[in-house]
Amino acid sequence: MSAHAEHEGHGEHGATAASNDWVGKKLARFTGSAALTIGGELMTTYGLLAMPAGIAALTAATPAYLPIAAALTGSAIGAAIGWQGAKHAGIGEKSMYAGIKLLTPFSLLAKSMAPVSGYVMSGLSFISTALAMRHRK
Amino acid sequence: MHNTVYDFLHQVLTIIEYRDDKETFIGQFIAVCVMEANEQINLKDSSKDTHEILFAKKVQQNFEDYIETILPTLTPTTKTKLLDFLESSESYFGLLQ
Repeated sequence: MSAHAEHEGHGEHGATAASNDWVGKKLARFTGSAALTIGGELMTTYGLLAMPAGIAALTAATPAYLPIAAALTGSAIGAAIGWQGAKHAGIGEKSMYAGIKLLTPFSLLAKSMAPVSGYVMSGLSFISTALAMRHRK
Repeated sequence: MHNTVYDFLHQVLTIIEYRDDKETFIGQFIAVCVMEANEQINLKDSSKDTHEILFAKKVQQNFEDYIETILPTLTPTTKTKLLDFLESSESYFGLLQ
């Protein structure tokens, strides 16, 4: 192969493409975790925000089991998505994650007395999922 | 530590005649090493030394993986130049241990 053909040949361009492909795959794993964290937490937060309306509607004797079901489902889906990362963590972090997720729906009972509790639990829920995503394989 | 990694990678990219923006690639490479090192951090032991050691290990692992990936794409001349450079820089990775 001539020197010119070698210089303009597949080798250098191949190296650029291979390099970009290599680093792209590495980065994709972390952006995937970020997308799941955001998606999971949006569902959990929807669950937190929608449940009070559902409970109020029930007490008004309106058939409103759907908002409650949607809220609980949203919270459960959000927690399940975050668990994909948390299940690889140590026992301490797993326990903390499970505890926060289990407490989240119950915090809404206190929300009517102390509105800030809903926001505090939402914040804790987000942080626990973001930490759990570090372990996502 | 980060400046040394930058210089070393910059030389490698120059040898293989990387055509895109070298700074962008190096930034992404370092970011990957930092994020992978963060995954292994034990929250009970968060000393600066531990972070640096984890980061250095990730740099070495990822660099070896990267070189294995691109070697088959290089022309014989470029491969020889790269291997000669890596051989002369062997002491670099000795400093990371």
